Amino acid sequence: MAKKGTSTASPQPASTNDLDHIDTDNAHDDDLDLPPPRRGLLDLRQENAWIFGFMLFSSLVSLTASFVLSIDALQIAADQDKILPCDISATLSCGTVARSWQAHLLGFPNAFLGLVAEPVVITIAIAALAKVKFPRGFMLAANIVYFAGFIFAYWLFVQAYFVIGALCPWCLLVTLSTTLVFSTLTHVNIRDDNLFLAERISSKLQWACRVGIDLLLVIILLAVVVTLIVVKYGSTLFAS
Amino acid sequence: MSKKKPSNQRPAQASTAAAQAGRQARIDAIKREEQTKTRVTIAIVVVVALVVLGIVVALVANALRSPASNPTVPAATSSTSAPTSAPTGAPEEPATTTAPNPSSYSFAYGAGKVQVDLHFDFMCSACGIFERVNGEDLAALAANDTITLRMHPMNFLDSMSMGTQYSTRAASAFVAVANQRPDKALSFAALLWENQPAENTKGLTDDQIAGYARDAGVPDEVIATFSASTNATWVDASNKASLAAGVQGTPALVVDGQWISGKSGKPSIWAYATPGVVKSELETLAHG
Repeated sequence: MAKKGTSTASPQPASTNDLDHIDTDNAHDDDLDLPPPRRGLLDLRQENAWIFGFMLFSSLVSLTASFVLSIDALQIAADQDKILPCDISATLSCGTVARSWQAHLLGFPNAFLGLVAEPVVITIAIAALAKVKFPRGFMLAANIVYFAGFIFAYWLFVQAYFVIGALCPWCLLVTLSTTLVFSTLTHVNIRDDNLFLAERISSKLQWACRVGIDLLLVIILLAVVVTLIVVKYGSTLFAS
Repeated sequence: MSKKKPSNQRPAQASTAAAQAGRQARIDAIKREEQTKTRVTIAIVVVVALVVLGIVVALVANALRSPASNPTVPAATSSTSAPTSAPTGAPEEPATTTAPNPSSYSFAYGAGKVQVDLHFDFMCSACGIFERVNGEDLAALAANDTITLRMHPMNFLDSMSMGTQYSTRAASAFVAVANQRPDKALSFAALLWENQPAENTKGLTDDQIAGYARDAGVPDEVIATFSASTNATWVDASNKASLAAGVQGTPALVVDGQWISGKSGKPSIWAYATPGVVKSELETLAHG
């Protein structure tokens, strides 16, 4: 097997993490020497250090934004007519969004959900960086819960964009970081086959992740978001 | 991709051919994967490039559309960007070299030496209470030149009218009147305060706003300009200017540069919800 540097067997049994994906499902011809796969940036994406490092970074960003939004929500609860530091204009305004009913769909500020959920992701990311291997069921559960959060984030974006009619910078940061956390979490769970999917689907998805289709999807999603914002608010945003 | 040394240690038998075929298939698979990778990478680069290009185009288009928006002379900017007859000339004497002017986006009434700046949003209930208590007094003090009253309309509470943007609509109407019939502006505003909708309702309809304007004696040709987009643009800018001036809540009352309310840590507006308090304090300032 063509491996980085040494030819000794990897000490980790979880060889799915490594570069030799092609080989993993055909263990019988392990000794066949194939041309070494080229290592590009897309391959770097498959490695734990990158995946969980990125997940850690994104979840820290998300937690920070949730903190700010929670404090804003408390300030607005104390004083309806309060203007927040992020109330930059009528269209770029945290307060406008925070005062909407959508901002406390469950009876409390949505940002509290971030305060609850992000530390879990941070813990997973740090533990995984320290080589902890979580049970498949645990990772599946985390993925499902975070999927709900991901959907919620985009529901909020759509509401803010089409109904409330204001942009909230910290909310957008939550939308972005939620996207990144969700995509990395899903990516790693596909890679490690944690989602209890049929072999056929699982290997298709793994192939898609290897060639970078997941990254392409995330970038298209973010491009749509950016385009929507520029189309509707471009003149306001670039005006000052 | 060059074929590496075949695995010739193994017995060369029929199995070799099969192994060879299998090996070739796997090499092809890897090749195909590499090709897909390249294609996906290209797609990613294209998408990112398109977005960047789009933003650049939007920036350039925007820069061309608003020529020389100079933040130091906002009054002039507001008039240059007004193609219709709506908010033209600077409503106040362009800030004579007097006291610090928190924002030039305002309409001035009276010529007293006490400078009173009031930042407000027509949807803000505290503003309504303040105005219903003190509005008439302020107008009277301005009318007899005890104070110079500068009204700064804001629209930061636009979200509190269930999507109808009442703050902007009401403020736009006020701007139209203040620009074209300054003598009617305060009495029109008083009617809006008198009939102020509750927060988180749809607010007054455009027809109702027009009706109150008519009641205040605003001519129909002025009412016809209420919905001109230039008014709303001006209100957006005015809102921005007020925030830039440091308004943290409304109503923000600034007397001779001193923040009475509207900044955190400043006494609540409720101290001024007692009829006559504001009036007597301003009179003391003017005469004492």
